[in-house]
Amino acid sequence: MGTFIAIVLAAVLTNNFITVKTYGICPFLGVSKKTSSALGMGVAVTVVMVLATLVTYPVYEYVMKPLKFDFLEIIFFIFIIAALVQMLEKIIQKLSPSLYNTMGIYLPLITTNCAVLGVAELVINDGTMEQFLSGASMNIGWAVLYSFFAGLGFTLVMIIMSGMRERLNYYKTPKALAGFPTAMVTASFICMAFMVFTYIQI
Amino acid sequence: MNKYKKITLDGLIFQNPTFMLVLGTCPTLGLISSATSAAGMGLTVVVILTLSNIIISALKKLIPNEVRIPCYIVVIATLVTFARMLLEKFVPDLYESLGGFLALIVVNCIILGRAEAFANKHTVLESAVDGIANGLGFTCALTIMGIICEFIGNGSVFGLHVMDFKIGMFATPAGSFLVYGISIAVFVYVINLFERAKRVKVNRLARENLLDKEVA
Amino acid sequence: MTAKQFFKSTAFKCIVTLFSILLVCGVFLTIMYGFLEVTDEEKFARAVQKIYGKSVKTEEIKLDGLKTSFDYSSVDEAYKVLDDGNYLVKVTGKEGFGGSVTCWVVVIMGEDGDSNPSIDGIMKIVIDSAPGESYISKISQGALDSLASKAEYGKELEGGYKHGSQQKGDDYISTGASYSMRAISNCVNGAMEFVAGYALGIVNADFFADNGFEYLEMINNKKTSYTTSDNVVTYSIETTGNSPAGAFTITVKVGEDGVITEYTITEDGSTATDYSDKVFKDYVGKNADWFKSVIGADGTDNSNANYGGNGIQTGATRSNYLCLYAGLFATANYQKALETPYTGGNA
Repeated sequence: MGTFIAIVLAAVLTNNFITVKTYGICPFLGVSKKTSSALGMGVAVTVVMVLATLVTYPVYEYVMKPLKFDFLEIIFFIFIIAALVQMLEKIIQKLSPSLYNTMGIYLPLITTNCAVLGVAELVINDGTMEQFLSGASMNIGWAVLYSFFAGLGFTLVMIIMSGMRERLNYYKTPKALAGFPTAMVTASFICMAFMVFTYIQI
Repeated sequence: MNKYKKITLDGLIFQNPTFMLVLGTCPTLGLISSATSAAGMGLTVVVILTLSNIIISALKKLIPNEVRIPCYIVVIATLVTFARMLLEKFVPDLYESLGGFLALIVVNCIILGRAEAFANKHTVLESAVDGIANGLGFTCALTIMGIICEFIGNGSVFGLHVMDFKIGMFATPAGSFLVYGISIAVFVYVINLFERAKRVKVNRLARENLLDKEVA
Repeated sequence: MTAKQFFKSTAFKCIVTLFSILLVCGVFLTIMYGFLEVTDEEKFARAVQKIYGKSVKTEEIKLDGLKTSFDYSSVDEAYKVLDDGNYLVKVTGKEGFGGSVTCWVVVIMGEDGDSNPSIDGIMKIVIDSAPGESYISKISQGALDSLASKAEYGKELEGGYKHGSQQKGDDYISTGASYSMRAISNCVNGAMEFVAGYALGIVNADFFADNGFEYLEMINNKKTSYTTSDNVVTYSIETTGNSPAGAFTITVKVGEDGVITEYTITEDGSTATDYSDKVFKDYVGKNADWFKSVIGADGTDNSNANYGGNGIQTGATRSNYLCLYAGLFATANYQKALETPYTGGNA
């Protein structure tokens, strides 16, 4: 139970993907102008992250490591992720066209989202995971749990950011500051707020 | 020769991937807290970007249009894996300071972006120049911001102690976001000034020409 | 679509191109990996370089058959540095904050080298891993260095809390992570004990356990000794801690028939004077059977139930337990001590 809480807190707050690890910044800056699209992107990223971990972790641990070609992990991971995203897109298109219209449009962007490759690389890195596990041994359950809550943390910050940017639309900004600079200064304030969570001792 | 000058200037300044196009943001924000790791990341990207541009423009006739993106990704992933091996073997300190961002070069939009937008339409030489120019543009931007962040956040430059005063926030992502945002604003402002001055000069020349004609 | 058409179609061309590129890249990387693989030895050499500051040649010491587990630590790996004769020992120390701490400890050897080996001290301590530690980051390299400078062979290093208590040790270094420092001190002690056993051939025998003494659980056998004369055994006992109470140092004289004739607490481990007033001191005339009836013959601490009936005021239960245990140790081993002259080496 302690490990469970530690992983959840670490993934969502203390080691948030955007505010602490700075993974997945492209969609964070690009798709956060409206809350609805930010939510769609966040959910899509979470789903792909969980699916990607579900496949890459066992492939790495039980196939690539024993056969000693773990040095090819980058190529394998990016291919698995690309294939997963393609399949997911087709499946959603077939099963639920309405869901496809709201979420599907974000899927092609996700292949080159570093949050997905980032989580796949993180969970196979013993040193990184050890600090969250509080003594428990690593297995696929923890890996998937971590990626799911990392996705939720990503979604949380996306929604906060989009809410702030929607308000910012009402104000006139100097020409040089319009667009990315304003978004980044806003993001900086969100990061400062999230720094509070580093005081959580698990 | 003019063609190469334009490619170089575009990559370094007018289409600077970091400041003007805002690509490759994840490693930028993650690594500019230290000037050394920022410069190391930049130089790694220069090499990988140049090589991937050369290979992709050389193979552009061979690769069918339908599977070009997967092919690019394979080429880039191979280069990244190779670069990672080299760094781990010969520069272990840099390898450790880059951490996870080394593997994430694969999904760095700059590299895939240049492959898609430039390398598959141009010759090998032009692509190589474009790769070096864009890579250096990225490196310069990262190094400048790295120096700023490290100086304020850690009181040092490239790891050398400069002053005791420091604001720790600038060594965290919060400071990275702030410095990056303000850097973009300053860069865009300067470029706009420069372009306006150029436009004013062009207009003045045109007017003088017109006047000369009328006088004549 | 016939097979012929398929082989001419774009789909086939795509598949062939993609797979040939994949194959070429895979083969290229595999060949390169053969050249560039960072082997475990290289990783170890880098770790050594980080500790030493320069690259040195090392030789692994086979741990089979050597004494590697000590009271509060165990040796995981050990290497002899061939360049200067020092030893590099990876030790896990117990009693840290929420677990154990693993450190690399560099033991400096004397200048005579292998001809007349001696331990000069500790060059460096580097923390390897500390699962379950939350304040370990508060220990700076400076604190570790000053701990290393305090270490000397033949002395038990106490850089954090004393064993089993919250009292400061003799070499206490203020870090904010006193439990972790205790575990690190244990690492250093273990490393020196291991090197003493391996290079100097000195195995710190556990005198009391080896000679069949009983009731040793609460006795610090490295700091306890006794002398005998005319059927009187004079013990100088140091107990372990019994958190929050610290270690007690007690002088006990046991005379004819195993009855206590003198019982003096020379160092009180109680956390406050309030408690030391409540420590029962009237042990003269008591024998082993009385102690067993209070503590429980099997040595379990059921003292809470038995204190009142034996006239022991409670309020300092843990301190009393230590004092009772010291008395039990002294009286129960009376015959044994008379028969065995003390040769344990604790003055």
